[in-house]
Amino acid sequence: MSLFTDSEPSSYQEAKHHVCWQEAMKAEVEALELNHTWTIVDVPLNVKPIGCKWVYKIKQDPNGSVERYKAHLVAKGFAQTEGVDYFETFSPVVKMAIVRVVLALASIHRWTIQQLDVNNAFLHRDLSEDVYMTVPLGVSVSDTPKCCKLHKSLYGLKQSSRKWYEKLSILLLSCGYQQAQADHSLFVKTADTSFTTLIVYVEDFILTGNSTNEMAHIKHVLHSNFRIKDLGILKYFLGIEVAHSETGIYLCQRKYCLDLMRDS
Amino acid sequence: MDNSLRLHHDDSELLTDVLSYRRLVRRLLYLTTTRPDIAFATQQLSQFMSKPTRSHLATVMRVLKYLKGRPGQGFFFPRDSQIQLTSFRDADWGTCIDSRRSITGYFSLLEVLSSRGRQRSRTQFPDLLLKQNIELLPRPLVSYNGLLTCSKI
Repeated sequence: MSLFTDSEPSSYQEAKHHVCWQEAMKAEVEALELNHTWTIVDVPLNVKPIGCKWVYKIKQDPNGSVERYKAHLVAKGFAQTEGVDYFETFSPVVKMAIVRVVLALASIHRWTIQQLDVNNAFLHRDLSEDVYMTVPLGVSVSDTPKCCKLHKSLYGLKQSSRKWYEKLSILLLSCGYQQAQADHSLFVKTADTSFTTLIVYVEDFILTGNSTNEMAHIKHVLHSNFRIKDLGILKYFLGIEVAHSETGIYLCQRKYCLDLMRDS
Repeated sequence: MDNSLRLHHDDSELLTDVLSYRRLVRRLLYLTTTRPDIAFATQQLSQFMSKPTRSHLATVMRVLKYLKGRPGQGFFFPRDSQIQLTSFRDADWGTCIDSRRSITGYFSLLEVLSSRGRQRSRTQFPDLLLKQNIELLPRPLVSYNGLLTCSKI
């Protein structure tokens, strides 16, 4: 049995031979159980639980060395049936034109632009539908047929991103933010002279405005509701590199463009 | 893209590797976020996702060669500009060979009244107006509150 590995396994069968992946899976299962994601129940009559799958990812730092081993448990959402275990699935993401407008405004007004990232965004939302999933490999249960009844949404479920967006928008609206008509992923708060705006791309946020107090406040609110990571000044967002200088803001997709040419 | 070239569903050899054509064009589409200069070419190429031929792939390669010249090109938002919305649009009198419909291009600029910007604008616009299908801003932006209340063109 090897301790570490350079390649990402494609199945549980491959991964279980490596200590690093075993630990990563253990950590993931512990986090999910701590979050009360599921309870183990007998399989109900006439229910075929949806499958699940482990996905393995080696996180690298910018120098290419291994930062950590990450194991993700995902549900096989393609097995879900509309009207039974999911209903609505649409969830908006921000239009790129809006990102450009906001960055242009921020440049002109010399606002600071901050980037935030949510940890495990999809796992926070309660599920209203009854979703049953097979017990993931690596979780030990007794011999009788059991399955997991999900209480929280999991990556891979059809409704995951919608549930997350619902929860986030309710929170932001209750903080006095207004949703822009032109793009529902753009949240704006105006009060007296202060102007704050938040762009949402699933679990990545861009926060900018002229009031440092309001920005600190909303970060605090977000952090107490979800666990967010403050990535500081916006540098790299959805493959777009952002450079700030005294004279302006420069956007480019240099890395994306080079990768594209290398792969073609 | 070659100015005299009109891409259409032609009779040249169909590509065997359709998937890699689709993947390339898909990635070019995302690249138009910061590269409006390839917006028109990409829009044209994306019309042939179902049946790409050799001539379409040749055009993709031409775009890639163009990109290779300056991979780090992007947008610059100068701090010394004033907020002023300018919008242009044009159509090309039914030049699509397959459908005989027009291609509409539009271009909106949220900028710039400083002297340097004005000069640059002048040199850019005629070219863009005639040949490119460009989008910077989808909707007019009236004021800050305009972010909330702007309407469709």
